[in-house]
Amino acid sequence: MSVAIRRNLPLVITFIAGMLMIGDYYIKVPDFNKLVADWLKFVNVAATFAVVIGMVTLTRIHARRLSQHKEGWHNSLALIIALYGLLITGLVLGEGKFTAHPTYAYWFNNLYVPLDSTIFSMLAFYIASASYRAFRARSAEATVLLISAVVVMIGRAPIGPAIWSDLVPITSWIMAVPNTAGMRGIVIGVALGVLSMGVRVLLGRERGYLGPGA
Amino acid sequence: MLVTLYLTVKGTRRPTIRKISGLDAIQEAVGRATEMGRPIHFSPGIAGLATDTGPQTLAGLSVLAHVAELAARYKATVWTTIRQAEVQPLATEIVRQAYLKAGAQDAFDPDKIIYLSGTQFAYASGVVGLMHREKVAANIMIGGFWAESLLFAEGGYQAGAIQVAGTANTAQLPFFVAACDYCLIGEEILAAGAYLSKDPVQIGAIWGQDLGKAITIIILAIGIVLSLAGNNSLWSLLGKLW
Repeated sequence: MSVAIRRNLPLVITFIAGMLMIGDYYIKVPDFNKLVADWLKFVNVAATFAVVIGMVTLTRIHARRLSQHKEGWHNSLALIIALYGLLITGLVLGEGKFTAHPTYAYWFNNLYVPLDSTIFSMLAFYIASASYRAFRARSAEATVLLISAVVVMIGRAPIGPAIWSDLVPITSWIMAVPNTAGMRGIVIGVALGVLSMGVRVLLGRERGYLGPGA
Repeated sequence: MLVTLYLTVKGTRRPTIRKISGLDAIQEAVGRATEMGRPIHFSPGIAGLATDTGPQTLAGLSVLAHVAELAARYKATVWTTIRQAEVQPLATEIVRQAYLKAGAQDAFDPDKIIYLSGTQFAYASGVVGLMHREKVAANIMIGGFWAESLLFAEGGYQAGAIQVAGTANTAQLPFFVAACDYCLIGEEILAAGAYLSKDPVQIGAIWGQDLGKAITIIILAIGIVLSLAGNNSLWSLLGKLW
């Protein structure tokens, strides 16, 4: 494949796909809308095939760690057993219904779900440590952050109104006025940024996602 | 936006945009990792390409191209972790191209672009584990992040990494601001590709975007004044348009 085709083909596909999606929003012609719906199904199928590529890479990396007895090789073994054990159980024994099979459901509910919750719950400790670093009053901005955070935290806890009843309206004002104003400013900026990026991608000017020098 | 693009293509206008310290810090982060002889971790976020948050992933991949090129030039190692399977072939090709452009194609290792899991917290635990095991010296996270943002940022901090992060998800920005050395806020990540490419036409589009912001602010100000005067005509007009 020539360099020109390699460079321009993804841009042409991106332009056509983008225009199809925009057209689907404005043009209400059943045949055209069906074509776009089919295109979206094709995208989902292509993305599903990408999972296989991901699995192959993951397996290759961990199989190599296992064969070379690298540090932590037992974790690689656990990963491969869990990945393929559950895949075979859900896909073959469970006839593709996964959690409908009792063995799959057992491992899913007793291993995966608690592990997932554990990782999520770690956020509580990380919030504390990150807040400690961020709230140290080393500058005027950090001091404002510290004061507003303390007021909002106490105002939102049941103990806040018990200490001082006016904490609740102050907390509500901080959240509804300065906080919302700041957030909306960012949201408007993001919306315009997405629009600008969309125009650049559709016109083939933004090519960073195709690699350097594309 | 299209008008500003046209003007810059025609060369009528040479726009400039302000410095974005977070993007300038990427070179510092890669340099630090090279000096310490430790790897870099890059995450393009957890957003899929075919969603409304897809542009954030594309923005992250644009930054990955820059990071990989710098790393290839400095002979540093980059670990790229992926949550969305469809992003992996794209990320692999970007890193391959970067090494090719830097003339270091022999150093390219496709196993350093690793799909960890399609599940949010399984991916998060994989990333944090990798950062600790590999003792990363730089942690760069640009893209769509949700609840895992702070797990990554604190994991990177504990690994002693210099951290550059950015997302357009407003709920996660405070975490990145609190825990990272440099933070790209909202639209800054979407401008990253244009900023790093230094292509005047792309920068022209950013200039058009700023013009759009100025127009929005003017409409907001007029709307506030009219609403205070008890006139809702602008409100009704915008309601009809959208």
